[in-house]
Amino acid sequence: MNSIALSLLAEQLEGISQEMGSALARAAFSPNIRVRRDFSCALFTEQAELLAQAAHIPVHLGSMPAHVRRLVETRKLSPGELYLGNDPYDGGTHLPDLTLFRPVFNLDGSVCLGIAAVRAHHADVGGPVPGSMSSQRDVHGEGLRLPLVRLAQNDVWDDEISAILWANMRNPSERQGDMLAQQAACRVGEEGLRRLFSGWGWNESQRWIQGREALLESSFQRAQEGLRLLLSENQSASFRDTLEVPPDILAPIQVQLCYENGRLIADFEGTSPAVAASFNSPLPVAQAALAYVVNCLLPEPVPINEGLLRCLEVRAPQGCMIHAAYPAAVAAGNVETSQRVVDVLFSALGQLTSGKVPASSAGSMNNLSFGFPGGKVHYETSGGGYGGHPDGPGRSALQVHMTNTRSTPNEVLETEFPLLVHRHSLREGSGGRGLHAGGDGTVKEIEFLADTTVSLMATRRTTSPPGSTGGEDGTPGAQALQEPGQDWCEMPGSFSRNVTSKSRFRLETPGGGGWGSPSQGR
Amino acid sequence: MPGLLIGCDTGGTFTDFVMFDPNHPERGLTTAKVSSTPDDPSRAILEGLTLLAGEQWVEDLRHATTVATNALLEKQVGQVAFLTTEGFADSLWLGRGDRDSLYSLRPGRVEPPLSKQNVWEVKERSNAQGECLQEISPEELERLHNELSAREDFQAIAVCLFHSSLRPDHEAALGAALAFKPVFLSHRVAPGPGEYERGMTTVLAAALSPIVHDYLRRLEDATEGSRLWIVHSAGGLLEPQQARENPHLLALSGPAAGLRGALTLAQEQGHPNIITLDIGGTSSDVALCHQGELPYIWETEIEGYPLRAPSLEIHTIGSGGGSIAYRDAGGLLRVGPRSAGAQPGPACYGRGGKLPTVTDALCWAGYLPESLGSLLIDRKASEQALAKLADELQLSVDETALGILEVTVGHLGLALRKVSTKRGHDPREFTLLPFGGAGPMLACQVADSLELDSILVPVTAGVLSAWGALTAPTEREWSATLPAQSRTNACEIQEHFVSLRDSIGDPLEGLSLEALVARRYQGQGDTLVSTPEADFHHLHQRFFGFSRPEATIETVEVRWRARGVSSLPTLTAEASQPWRQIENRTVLGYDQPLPVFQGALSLGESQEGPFLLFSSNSTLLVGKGWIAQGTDSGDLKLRKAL
Repeated sequence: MNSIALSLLAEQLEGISQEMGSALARAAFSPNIRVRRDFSCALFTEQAELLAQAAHIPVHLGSMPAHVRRLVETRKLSPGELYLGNDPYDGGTHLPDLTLFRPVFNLDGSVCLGIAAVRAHHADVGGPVPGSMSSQRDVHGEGLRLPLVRLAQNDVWDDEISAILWANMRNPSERQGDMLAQQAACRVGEEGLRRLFSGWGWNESQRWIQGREALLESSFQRAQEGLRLLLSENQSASFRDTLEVPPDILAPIQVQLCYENGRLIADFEGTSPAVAASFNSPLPVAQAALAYVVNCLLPEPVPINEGLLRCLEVRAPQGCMIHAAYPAAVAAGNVETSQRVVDVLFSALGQLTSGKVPASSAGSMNNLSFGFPGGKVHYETSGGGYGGHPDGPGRSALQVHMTNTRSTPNEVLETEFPLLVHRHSLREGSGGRGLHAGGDGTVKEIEFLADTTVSLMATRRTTSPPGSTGGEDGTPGAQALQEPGQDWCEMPGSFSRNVTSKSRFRLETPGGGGWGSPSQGR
Repeated sequence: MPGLLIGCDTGGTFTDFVMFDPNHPERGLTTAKVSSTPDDPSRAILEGLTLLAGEQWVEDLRHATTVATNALLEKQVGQVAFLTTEGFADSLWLGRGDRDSLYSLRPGRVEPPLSKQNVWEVKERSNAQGECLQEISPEELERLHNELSAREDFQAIAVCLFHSSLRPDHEAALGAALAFKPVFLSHRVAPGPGEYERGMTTVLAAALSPIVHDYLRRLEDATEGSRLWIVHSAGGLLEPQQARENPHLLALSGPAAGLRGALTLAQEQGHPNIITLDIGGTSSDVALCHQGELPYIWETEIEGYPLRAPSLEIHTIGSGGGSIAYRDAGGLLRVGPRSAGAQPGPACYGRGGKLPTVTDALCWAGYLPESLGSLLIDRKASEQALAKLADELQLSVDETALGILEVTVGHLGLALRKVSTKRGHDPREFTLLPFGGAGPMLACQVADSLELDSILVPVTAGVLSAWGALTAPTEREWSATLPAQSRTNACEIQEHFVSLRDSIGDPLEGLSLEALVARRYQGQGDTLVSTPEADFHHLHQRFFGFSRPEATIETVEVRWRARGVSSLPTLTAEASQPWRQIENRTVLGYDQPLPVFQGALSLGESQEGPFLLFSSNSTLLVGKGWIAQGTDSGDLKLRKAL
């Protein structure tokens, strides 16, 4: 297989996964998918090797292979099928992430060409709190858990499975619209793979298989070369930080990083055991965090496929907080725990590389959901400050690290939900001081105009985003509630509360840590 | 007696002209190119007019301008004061919260083009139903008047209040109170929800206004006696006064004129469905027109700024003639996005470039003539640049050159597929219209890779934007956003059409009006714009791959588009050189030497591929299995042989 044919194959596969993403975003119904683009689209071999993934949201980076592996190991795949799943112990992340899988065959159905997969965060999958994003004691409180089920056969949806889905989710019409959009995106992947197989001279199955393997091997070499430029063999470093888990636990996350034989191994021995709150995460989340961190530091980003993943390994004791086992609750695992895993990995890598790693960023996605009578639900994340960097200050008011979703305009929020936004601004002075200061967080104040369930999951409330190399810490986040006729009341980082109409809620997100001693600049 | 009609396009290097004399239609079109004068683009325009028209009266000058684009590119814009609802002074700095790069540890977002000291909050509030929650008091108006009039550090004022599209009276009151400076009101500039996009567009309009104002004044002075028209970003013409009031509409004037020109030309040749492919030095542009309709969009991005203005969907990829080829750490051949640009340029240009580019691959493959204008092509330099890469890849120089072209064709094919599938089309139903320096060289290969069987090569490829400006009709759009409670009510939708029509006033003489609606399923985000009569479910199926006949359709926006008719008769080309073979040359990928031709095929004549055609501004390679046919206009039609 020559390098030109492989280059064409690589770029076509990436192009198809991007096309899947744009099809999904345009056709989706919920703001979370269409505006915030909280989804990922990927193509796999029939052996569950990741071929290409569009860069949409880092928290899904390389986190789907385990789910696909479970699919190919347990099912005999046929043309015209569509599978659905969200089980965190099956390769899923958290319950709102519904993944659709489309086995792709050539036109006459004789050769399986691979699998198109689309994972998207749905605004509700049931459970006691609208939005399905509140902290619970175990997974059964978090909503509808779906092992891999065959949603469609011969392209016809299974009525009985559909009935179960719609009976267990708020706003089923929106859920259905979003899943139709996911299906349309899977079809784009299917058409793309078929076109590649028939139109590009890959039309012999043997050549098809060899070509894909040669491509993954080439990406593996590229990622290895990148790591070699970044690290020295047999280096190791460790770091420990904590995650705030409700009601008031500081759960340690500890990593030992080791670079040997061209592979980077992150061992999380010493991390807290599972907690009785939704802050556990299945192992793929930590794998995504490692893939993200490495791709940020590589001299040139590498394609997201199995080749990169082969250079990386995550070890964690089964049943610990970041290797969740049934029935550990996981809703905040890939929104909060993942951010702390990133912080810990960067801090450890900072010891192995000089002048490349910034101070810690806001470290929380500040997950806010509200639900109104009648089933209308909204979920949003808010950005904070980036950490100061050896080369300059951190930027303010951005989604940090594992997410990069776009916020819904305040005017649109007010159009779609009974609420008024009274203020949305930068949180001046919240970034840690330093030679290069951390960026500022944000402030948002909302008045609800109907009885509402407000639910928040946020961290870096009792701990601060640490500064680096003498820089000061960022200011922790804060939140307060004011019910009609009452005073403002500070709230904890994670809570869920029914409030009456005319209540106000204020969210202040953390600033980033500073880099370098503030006095150095004077 | 009518005067001359001239279309003119200011580019980075050249200012192009196309002239038509209604008194002598038999003379066809006259074209000219003059070196651009970036410090004052009107100088080059004056020079070109003198060259073409001499003492004759120029009745109409229709102009595609880069003055707004360059101002944004170089961040050389006017100073602005920004007024917004209390609580939201930071809205332009917050944006939508997303970062511009996923894997950068120093990600950013575009900085608004104004200082925070120039932002004022206004005590007032309306809600999403268009109801007033807090009136704007006379004292508040007076306070703002006093504070702003005491300041000298801005030239224009931008106002964006919450939900002003549904309730414009507060913005209007501010407009009246602050009339001592030019005031841009968001409900007029960029109506619709989304405080960041509407606010930023209004700020850009205000920031561009002094620059556009100065430029148009100079141009009007220089062309006194002629009627001046400016091409807007959606490829229609504006009167200078409208351009002054809406400078944000000019941001993409040049590319829009190019696409307008391509479409007009294709339609005259009976091709209403086209995909254009413009391969430039550092990037390439791809766009699609379906059934004679330009690909309108209503929101776009320029230099990282969101811009809400009618524009055309032109997809740019970082792959062009100057793109550098290299071997990646995994051993694969990659092309771009790094580019040799104009300096040092491709190795074969002999300006010091040492790295192999797409142009070097074209050169080594035998596509380039001995010289491009005054520039001598150094084939040896291309070979040296390619040989080094060939070594690394363990391929021959020939294989490497062909590989670079193949990878480039792959990139272009992806871009073509993207613009087609995005609008729900199969690219095979389209005619490829290549232009720009390298467009015609790779057109057959790109068409083959996507199974397209029709290509139209314009003879005016070098001055397409100027021709687009000359042939563009006058065109304007107005829109109104419907409040949530009216979106499913047919009567109220009709009322909004009527009241929008009334608000436009009378600048519509001689123009035809078309009604448009932006619709979606209730709860959805993106809208589809069409005539009210079009079947929405059918449209949705085509664009998005599914429909939901049981779902409620809501009309989010009503629009009026006013359009004039282009006044030009069907054009004939200027007298062309006869068709003749000048040489045979060896071209990579072909066993036999290919004949090289010059001149134009007449109507009825045809020539079977493979062959090369050298013209003054580009080379065309007609591949094996393609037949070129002459047309009455001098353009070439390429068809796949049966």
